[in-house]
Amino acid sequence: MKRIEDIEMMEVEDLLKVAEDNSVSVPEGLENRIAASLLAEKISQEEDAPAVSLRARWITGFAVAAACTVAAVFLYNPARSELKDTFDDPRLAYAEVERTFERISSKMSKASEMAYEATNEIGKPASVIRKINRK
Amino acid sequence: MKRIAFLAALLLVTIGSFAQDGKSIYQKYSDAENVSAVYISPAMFRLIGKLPEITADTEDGKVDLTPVISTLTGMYVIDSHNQSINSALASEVKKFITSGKYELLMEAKDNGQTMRMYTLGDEKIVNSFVMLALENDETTFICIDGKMNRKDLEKVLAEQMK
Repeated sequence: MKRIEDIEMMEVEDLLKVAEDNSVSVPEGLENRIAASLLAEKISQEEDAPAVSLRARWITGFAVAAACTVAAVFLYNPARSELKDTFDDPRLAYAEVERTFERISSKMSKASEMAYEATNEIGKPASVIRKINRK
Repeated sequence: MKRIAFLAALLLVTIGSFAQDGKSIYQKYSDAENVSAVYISPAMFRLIGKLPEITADTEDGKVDLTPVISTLTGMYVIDSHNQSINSALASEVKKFITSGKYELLMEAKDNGQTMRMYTLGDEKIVNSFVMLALENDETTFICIDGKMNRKDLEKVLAEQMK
């Protein structure tokens, strides 16, 4: 029996001679087995095909959903639309800016006062210790 | 699977880029009941910059606000006395602060009242200043955007404190 390597080394003419040689017997049922194998291969390919397609559908669906979300955010995000100025007069606007800075400063001032009071409280024990030491 | 993960990450980044900012918070709450709101646009700041004299009165005289005002690009103020939205407003501001990588400048708590100030920028420039004050029945949100020189801003605020 010839090995595949040997067959591959054979010339085409030799292969044709072997093919035409009627003395070589074909195993019984070989034709059916080949047909069955081909059919099985075909079925296998058909089963694999939808799996790839399903993944592609997922990716496409996800991409479409992502595109829709981004588009929705772009179109409906209120922050993207223009706001209207509260004041038409720059002097009034300036007065409001000034007032806002004053409010911020007032809050900062309050925080500073609290910090100052806390510092005084922290200093009390030290002052008591100093008085005790003097005695 | 990698593609899906990549697309999901891309989507999250995209959505993240539309996260809260001063403008969106202003837009969301400015029309609510018992809320007073002020918005000053970059164009208005340019007009203010053309005013002949920009100073603020203090006890010791006047403070020149020009160095700060001329660098501002937007100001949003929300003053809410609406109890039903105060907590939501505070929560959104906190999210905005966290996502915007703001730095806490100052925090003061007194009798259940909290005031926090945040800045965004570096040692020299302040790109955004936010103040959130939570008082008994009032929540105040102030957001000032611009390219403010930190020293100028501190000077203006300090001089007005006098």
